Amino acid sequence: MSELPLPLGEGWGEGLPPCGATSPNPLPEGEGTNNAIMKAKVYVTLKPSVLDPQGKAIKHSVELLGYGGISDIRQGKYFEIAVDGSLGEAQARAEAERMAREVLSNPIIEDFRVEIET
Amino acid sequence: MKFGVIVFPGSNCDHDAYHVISKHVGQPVDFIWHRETDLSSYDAVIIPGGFSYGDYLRAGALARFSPVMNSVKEFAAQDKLVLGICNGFQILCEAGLLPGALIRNQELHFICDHVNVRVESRNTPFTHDLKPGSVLRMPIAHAEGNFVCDEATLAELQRDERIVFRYCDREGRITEDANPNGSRDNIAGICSRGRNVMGLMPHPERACEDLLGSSDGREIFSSLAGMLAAAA
Repeated sequence: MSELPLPLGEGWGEGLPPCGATSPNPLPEGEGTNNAIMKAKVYVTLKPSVLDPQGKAIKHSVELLGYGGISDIRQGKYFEIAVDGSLGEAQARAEAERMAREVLSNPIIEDFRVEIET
Repeated sequence: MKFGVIVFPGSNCDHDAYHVISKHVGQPVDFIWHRETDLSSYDAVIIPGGFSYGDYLRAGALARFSPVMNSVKEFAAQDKLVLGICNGFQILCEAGLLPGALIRNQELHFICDHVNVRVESRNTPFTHDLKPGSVLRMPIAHAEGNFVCDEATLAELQRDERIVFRYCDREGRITEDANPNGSRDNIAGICSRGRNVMGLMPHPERACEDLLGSSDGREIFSSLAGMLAAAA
């Protein structure tokens, strides 16, 4: 997967209303754009420096079952967000990232990653 | 002086807090539903324990978005007193009114037990009548009470004496064995930079009558009331 720059500061700053209808849509209003089904996938994981007692317990159980060669298990959260077709891919990503930062993760203890499935 | 106890869907220590303020502190107190926004008639608000929003997403994470929380932020910015107990502490951390976060207990279990905490700072309105170094016995009841923060935050909390309570043994020694949940530096309670917002995991409101096993929690509420009376 290619590295994508964080789409911050491009009209998606803190002060703006969410999902504003007046926001610039980087994609042309072409055929099918409005009905396109997109899914934003948000993965929230504990920062490497934060202990994950649940992951440790799961690893212990898995090892009891005889699975070998496992050096670590970390538990995280996964969100699927169905995105309205009126948003372009870049906007959908920006909105999902903002949501991940403000609600879905706690930046003190967690990191997040966003994927867009078109 | 007037107290408010904020009630979220899922709060369950709200009545305990109300009872303590009305019966033991002897002051007027209201329940404040989380959709209210006017806190102007209150001198202190308590964010009680419980499971606001069922602890969905993270403990305290969704309560942060209730309308009353913007008012609590303004209230705190006016140097008025905010006390968060257990889930209330988690909410204050999620809302950014206190630093750090409370994650799953180190041993994973929900812990319901009495613990000892040592008073580390009496330089807060909540502890200023307490003896420094004294040991309070109070119950805890939580699954996410493991306080975490980064090095810089810990250093700041230590430097500014913002660690208010630490888990200790009966004699007041801070030991690993006395730490019930893996909290960093045995932290059980901290206060804000302005010292007017305090959060703690133990339940002082459930430790106000000898019949319940301890009345040590009364000292926190009487300290708070004494401070408000002196300011009036």
